[in-house]
Amino acid sequence: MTSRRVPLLPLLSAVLLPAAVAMVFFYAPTERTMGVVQKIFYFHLSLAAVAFLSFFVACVAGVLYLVRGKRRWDAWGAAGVEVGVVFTTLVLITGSLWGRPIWNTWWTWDPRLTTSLILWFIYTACLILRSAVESETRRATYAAVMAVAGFVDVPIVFLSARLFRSIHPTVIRSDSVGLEPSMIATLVVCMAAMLVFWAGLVRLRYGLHLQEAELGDLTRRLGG
Amino acid sequence: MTKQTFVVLAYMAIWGGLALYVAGLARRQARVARQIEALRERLGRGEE
Amino acid sequence: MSRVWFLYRKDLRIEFRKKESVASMTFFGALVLVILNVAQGPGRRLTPETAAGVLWVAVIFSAVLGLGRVFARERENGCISALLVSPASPGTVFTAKALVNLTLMLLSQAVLVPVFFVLFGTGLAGGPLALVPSLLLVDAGFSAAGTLLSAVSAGTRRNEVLLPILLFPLILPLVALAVKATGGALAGRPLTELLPLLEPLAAFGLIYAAAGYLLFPFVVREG
Repeated sequence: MTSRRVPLLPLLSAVLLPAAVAMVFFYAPTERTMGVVQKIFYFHLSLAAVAFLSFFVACVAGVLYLVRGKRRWDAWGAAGVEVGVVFTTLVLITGSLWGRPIWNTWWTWDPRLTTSLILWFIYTACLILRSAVESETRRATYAAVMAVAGFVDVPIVFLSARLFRSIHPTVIRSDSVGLEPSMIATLVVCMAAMLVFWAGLVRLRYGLHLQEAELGDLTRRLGG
Repeated sequence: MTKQTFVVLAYMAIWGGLALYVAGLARRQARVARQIEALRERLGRGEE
Repeated sequence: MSRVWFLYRKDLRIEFRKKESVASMTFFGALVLVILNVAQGPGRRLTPETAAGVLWVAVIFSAVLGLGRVFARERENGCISALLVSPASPGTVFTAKALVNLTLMLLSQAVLVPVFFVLFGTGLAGGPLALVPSLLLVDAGFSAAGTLLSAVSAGTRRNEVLLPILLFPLILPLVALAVKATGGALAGRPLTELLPLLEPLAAFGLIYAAAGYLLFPFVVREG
């Protein structure tokens, strides 16, 4: 609960996000082969990066919770998982909307897409697990274990997605997109804006978790 | 559908989704804060 | 080590006295195979890869059935707390439970794989023996991850529903690789060609054996 009164992150993201959108549409040039669809890419990639970051935060918070047993680490873990799932959902939606006009398919088993999808499943299962346990310490421990167990799966998920594809060859290589300097600048601004927004969001969710826990404490004290 | 439609859809999904999520969080937080206040009041009265 | 062996034998003895897990696992797996055979329609042949997919659906679904029982039984009898005060460390308990699961899976597969070849075997180049490496590796990974998560789900209100929900996403890459590897084996490819697929399977087993060994104590302490 440090420096609660200064909403620095929300204010900063209120400035940065519109600026980033403006850059995408007015500053960055339209890509030659993909045309206007490529404008999805800037935020798609930013969302994916911060989604992955949230899962990483959840894993670290999980380890710290298991070692220290403090409620605030559970709060960070809860925030990381939930925000990560929201962002991954958006990544999958925008990925689909990008893939349809470019590759003529809503879905393809590209390694990155596959990894995102599997992560989405793992961490949504984590959310379901949270809702299924009543005791607070038990819920926190189980969620922490699941967050760690989910994150150590990532290397295998990515590797298997690559091997899975290698026998069904596809010609999709999203990294073959040649980026001009102005595009890279736009991408950096988008990433930064999304990062600030993400940090604010995680912080908000973290505060909410602590408040809900406090509510639980108060109810218990009143109930006897 | 033209290419522009997909871009519009994607941006609607991103900002609409994020806005909905933030709004949901804010509502939840307001409700929890209200309940905490009410409980604190009851607790304060009970101790007097 | 001797404690692991002791707990392992204790669990297997109970298992064989009651015969509840292996029998139902095998029965259910065979049932899935028959359903898929019916769904495939009469007189059609599957490509090796599709056949591999069929086998893995049956194996995974039957295995998850057995997993749930191992901890449900302990919880019903209050044995978890007894295990916790016993000199056996939680890590030992984890190892023993994972080995029991592995054994149950292997036993049920000893029946399921022949049934699979009877129903789907026509026209496949590879025989049952070619499947052994990938079956062993997947079973090891599955039982390591499965033991950890069945301990988690046993502590929740919705044990039976939650276990597959938690476990299947984690083992998705395992299944993907296993289907590829067995598909290759059924097509008659030599083992050396399949090694790039088998190595990540082994890595998965090692990762979850380590993660399970480290995380399991926290889970049972909450019990």
